[in-house]
Amino acid sequence: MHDIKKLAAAVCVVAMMALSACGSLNPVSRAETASQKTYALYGTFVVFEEQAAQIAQDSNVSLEVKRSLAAADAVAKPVMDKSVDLALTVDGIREDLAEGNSTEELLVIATENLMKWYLDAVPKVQALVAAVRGVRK
Amino acid sequence: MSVAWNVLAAMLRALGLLATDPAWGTKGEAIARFLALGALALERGEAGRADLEKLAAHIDTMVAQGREPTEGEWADLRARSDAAHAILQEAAKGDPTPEPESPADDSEGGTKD
Repeated sequence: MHDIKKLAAAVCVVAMMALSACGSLNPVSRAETASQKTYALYGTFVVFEEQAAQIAQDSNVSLEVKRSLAAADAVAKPVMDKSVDLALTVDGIREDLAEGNSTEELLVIATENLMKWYLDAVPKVQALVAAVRGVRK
Repeated sequence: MSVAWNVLAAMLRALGLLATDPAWGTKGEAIARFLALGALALERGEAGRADLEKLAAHIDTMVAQGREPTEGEWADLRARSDAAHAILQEAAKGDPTPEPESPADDSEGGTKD
C-alpha cells in the first residue's frame, strides 16, 4: 500500500514537471501584430479548451469538476469569438486600405477596438488554463 | 519524450487496474482513480505541450512571412473551439437519467391524475 502511495506522489511530481514545461511555452509572446496576437491567444484558448473537453469526457472526473471547466469555457468563449470577428474586420480594413478603399483612421479605430476585446479575453483564457491545470494537480 | 510520457501513463493505468482487485477494498478504488487521473494528466500534459509548441512554431512562421492569419486559419480554430465547447457543455449536464420505458397503457391515453 505504501509503495503505491509513493508511486502516486512520484506521478504528481512528474506531472507537475510536464506541466511546468508546458507553461514555459507562450505562443502569444511570439506574435507581433494585433491579429497575430489574437490568433495566438485564440489558439492557446483552443488548446486548453480541447484539453478541458477531453478531461470532461473521462469517467474518473467528477461532475463538479466538469461543470467548473465548462463554466470557465463559457465565460472565455464569447469574448474570444468576438475578438476573432474583430480581427477579421481589421484584416478586411487593411486589405481595403491597400486597395485605396478605406482610411488609416478606420484601421486605427478597428485595431484599438480589437485590442480592447483582446485584453478583456486574456484573463478569461488564463482562468480556463488555470482550471485545466488545477484538475491535473 | 512523448513516447516516454505515454508509456509512463500506460503503466499508471495498468497499476490502477491492479488496485481495483477486491483485496484492496475501497482504498484500492480510490488509488485506482487517483492513478487514472495521474495517467490522464501525463497524457494531456504532453499533448498540450505538443499543441502549444506547434502553435508557437506556426506563429513564428506567420511573423517571419510578415502576414496576418488567413480566413481558413481562423475558421479551423473556430471549428475546433465549437466542437470542444459542445463537448464541455454536454459533459456539464451530467449523465442523463435513463427515461423509463413507456408503459403499455400510455398509448391508451390513461392518466393517474
